[in-house]
Amino acid sequence: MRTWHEVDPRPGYDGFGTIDPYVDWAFGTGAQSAGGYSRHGVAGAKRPKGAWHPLLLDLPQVDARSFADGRFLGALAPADWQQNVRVPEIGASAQFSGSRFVVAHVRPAFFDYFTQTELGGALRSAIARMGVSEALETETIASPTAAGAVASVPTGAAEPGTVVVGVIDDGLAFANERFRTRGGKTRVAHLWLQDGVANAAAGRYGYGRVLSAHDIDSVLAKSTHAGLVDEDEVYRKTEAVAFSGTAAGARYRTASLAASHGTHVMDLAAGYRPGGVPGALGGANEDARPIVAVQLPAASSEGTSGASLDTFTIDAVRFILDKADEIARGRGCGRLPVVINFSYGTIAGRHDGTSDLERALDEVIAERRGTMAPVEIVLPAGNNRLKRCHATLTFGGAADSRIVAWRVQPDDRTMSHLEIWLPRGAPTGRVRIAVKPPGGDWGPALGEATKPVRVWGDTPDRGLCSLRYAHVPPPTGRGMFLVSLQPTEIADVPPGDVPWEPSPSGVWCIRVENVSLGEDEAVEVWVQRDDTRFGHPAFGRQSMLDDPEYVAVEDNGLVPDSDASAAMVKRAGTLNPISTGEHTIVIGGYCHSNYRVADYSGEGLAASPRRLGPDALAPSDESIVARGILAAGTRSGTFVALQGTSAAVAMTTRSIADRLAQGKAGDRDAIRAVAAAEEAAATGSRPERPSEARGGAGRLGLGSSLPVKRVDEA
Amino acid sequence: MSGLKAESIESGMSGMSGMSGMSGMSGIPYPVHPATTAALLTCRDGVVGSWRHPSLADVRTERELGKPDNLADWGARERFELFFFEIAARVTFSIGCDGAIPTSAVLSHLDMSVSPGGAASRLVPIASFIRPTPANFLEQIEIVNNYAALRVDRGAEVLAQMGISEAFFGSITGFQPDRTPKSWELALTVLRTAYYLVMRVKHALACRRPHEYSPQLQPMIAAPMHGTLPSGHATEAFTCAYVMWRLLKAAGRPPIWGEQLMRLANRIAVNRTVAGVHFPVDSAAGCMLGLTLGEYIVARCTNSSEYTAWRFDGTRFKGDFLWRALLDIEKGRKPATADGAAGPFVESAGPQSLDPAGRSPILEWIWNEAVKEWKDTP
Repeated sequence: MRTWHEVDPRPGYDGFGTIDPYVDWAFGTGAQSAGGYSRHGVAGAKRPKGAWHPLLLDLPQVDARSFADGRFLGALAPADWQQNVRVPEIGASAQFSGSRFVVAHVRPAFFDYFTQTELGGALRSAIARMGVSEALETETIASPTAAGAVASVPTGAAEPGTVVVGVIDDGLAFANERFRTRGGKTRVAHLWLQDGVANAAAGRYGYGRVLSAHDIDSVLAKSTHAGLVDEDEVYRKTEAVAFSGTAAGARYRTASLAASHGTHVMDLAAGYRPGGVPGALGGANEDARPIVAVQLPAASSEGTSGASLDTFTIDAVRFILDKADEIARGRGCGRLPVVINFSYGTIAGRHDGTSDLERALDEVIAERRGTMAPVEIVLPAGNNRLKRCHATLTFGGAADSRIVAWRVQPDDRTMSHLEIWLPRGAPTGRVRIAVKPPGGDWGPALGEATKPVRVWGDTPDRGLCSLRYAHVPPPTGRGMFLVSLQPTEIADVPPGDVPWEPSPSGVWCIRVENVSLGEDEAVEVWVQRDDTRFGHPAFGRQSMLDDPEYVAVEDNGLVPDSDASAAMVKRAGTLNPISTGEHTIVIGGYCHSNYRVADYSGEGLAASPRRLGPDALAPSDESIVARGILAAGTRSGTFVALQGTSAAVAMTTRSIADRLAQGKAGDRDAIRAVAAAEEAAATGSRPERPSEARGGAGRLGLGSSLPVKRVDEA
Repeated sequence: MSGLKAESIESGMSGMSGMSGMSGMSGIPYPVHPATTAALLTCRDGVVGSWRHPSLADVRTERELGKPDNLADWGARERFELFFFEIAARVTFSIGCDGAIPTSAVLSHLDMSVSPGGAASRLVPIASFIRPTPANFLEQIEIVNNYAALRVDRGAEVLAQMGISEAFFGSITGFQPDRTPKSWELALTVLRTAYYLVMRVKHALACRRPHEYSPQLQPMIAAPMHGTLPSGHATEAFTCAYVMWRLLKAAGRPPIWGEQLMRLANRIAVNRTVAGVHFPVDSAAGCMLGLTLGEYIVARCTNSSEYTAWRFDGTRFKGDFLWRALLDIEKGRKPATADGAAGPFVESAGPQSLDPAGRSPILEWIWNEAVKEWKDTP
């Protein structure tokens, strides 16, 4: 019979708020007997014992090399440490070994170290935070390279007018002529297919398939017939797309579709018709805008939560910077400026700029700030403003309570998660949380305690729902309750595995009972992103919050400008949670023909310390009829319109690259200043400037900052 | 009224691939509405006058017996049957055996002298096929499943290509019944020949379809009711693409025209795998047969008497279908070997030479007329 059980957190995880609660769900309490997330999203389903899981570690005192060889543990270092822990060479390289954020690959046995008293204690004191990403497919793991000769930092003056554009995305149709020169050579200087079948060039980065411009040019030449490049053949020969071969090689690649997110974005960010790349002093210089592109693993794009993208994103940023230096060395010039486009987002998270990924990105930008070779990272405001995945709860006094109705869809083949974030402060038992399954009974309430974990199911070790608490240490300094559900449809049971029960779909009620929060202290609730990504087969289904007071549209059919005060579900607070950091540039979307901010474009949270909203808006729709922005389809000569803040980000990336090429500033402050100046100078009738929470400093493209349309054919 | 009747019979077959274009070649000299027939009856009564016996002077000179140029006088539909006869009557089928065990399906040219005292008849090979084993097909099923991911993206094409639509070839070459009628007749002849011959090979090899290997493939269209290998779509598409390319080449067009036609044929073939009704190895066999038939038909059409016969061994095929393994548009046909295979899955069975006495002036006539349509356009 399904009922609520009390489970002790896995030994060693007890009270360890530094471990992402998702890790405990995947490796600990949620999966007593098994190796973590299966590819298809069931916690507890079996994974191969030898699978390597990427971890993002915040190591304030230990450097990457010392972590890799276990030296920091001294005599406590287990004999098999290096069999269970690897740090790819890039992480230990001179450029990045100073970072407190280390990406390590560990086998499941690594998590057993925490159960040993002394060793576990030593690890807990070394690791400030730990998050996990989707396990690597075996075929993608590259043979580790020994730390080679230290590559020198390029010195001297940068090549005038040259800016490296980094693109981190999915479905990169890199052979499209928008990324080729007039002479037919690729402008993609380096490409990393993170879930490609491993090759030697990927050794430095630990996994995937790394191709240089030379590699791509050689395939382009071999795939040219009767003067035409057969782009399908290029993707086959580079193994960027394969329908046969090994399991990893045959993974579904969205570059084989007519339209892909990555190609569209890469075109808006750095695509030109052959011969059209602008040089420093007018005219064309095809070498002036080299592209370094990273294709994220397909599994991450299909997967359940944005948490699984962190290590891949940080690895991607480091790859782009590493290769930008290689380009500079090859040209005999100094370090080159870099602008990186990352048009990805999720829904749940802290929204206060203190997530591991945000801090790691801020660290990268801060380090090169004010130099001749800055790094800028452009992120989207997100498209989730109308998804009803966020609620703000306030209380009239002690014992006041609120019930949030969480509607979970049937046929959701991935896990669903709901995060409840408390204000900053010590875990003094400020609220108590209880959960009621559809048709089930309220479970006992859980206060701000890491023990027990509450699990609902037939038996404690095969839970369908879990409720747990962690207090995330500074700089976050906040408590978080995590409610996790198994998929509502279990379609994929490996042979020999005991079939997992699906969790019931329907309305799960979450009761938040105030104990000691003041009237001005809010509890923020977010449902984690769980939809199907563009171009991927239907898999996850987005759950949402039901609220009778929420006004979706007014009588005139329009989305209201402001939230109903009686509603718990809010549009405010829907800014992409990886876009609340300090130095990244965050772009929302507006409609180019009527200048109105897009209804879907993420809106900031007034309580957020580092930003109230995006920095600026850029067009994300041509008009209310012609939705989306036109840019390249996957095959040369094709164009598609895709809608969303991804496109706005990519056009801004392009504009920032142009500014850097002209020696102008392109950082967050500079872009805000451009937007503000354009708002101030704009004439004619148009809706007034959106609020800071929705539109930041203003709309880019009212003046000359962004040529919209086919961006380089104006 | 006979034209109407024939039309209705043909339209009953329109679901067959390769036949859908027949409507563009109606065989009816002018539109005959049923009401027109009644009007013609009364109209004649009003016009006919008293009967007068005609003299030979009223009639044009008798046509020369057996002269190919007489074709110009026939209707397009009638010519189509003649061209089809010229090819079909000379291609025959047999089963190749190892001792008493049947091992292969063989298409051959029936080389015989039709004049008294000519040489004894003989079979000249065109193409032969060894079918893959069930284990070979089982390896392929993963690829079919992977391609299912493209179904939504390719849905419109899959449906539009259920019968091979000439629209796709027309979109590349600009050929259409009003503007290039002789090329149209030739293309339809080629498509029908390919369809009829591949059906004979499919029947003999009798290979099971992907959905018979897995209940999870769920093809997006009804699976055809015949064997899977060779793919009929691949055969027809590559035969048509090859003949169209040779036609354009004869008219002086550069290789990019052939390149695009082959890419189209490949797309049509692969779309059948996307739909879930064909293995990649089916497309490889169909591509081989299509190119070989194309070469054979062009040889018959150009009185060259020379072509190359090819062998397909499905047990040596591995991986995905790649048409470039079989053909280089500038250098020509080539043997093909899959990675890690014991030997080539496509190999030459040697150059063949036909008895020049068996040449077909009828096929030569349509070829020359068709080439003119591309050469002499203003």
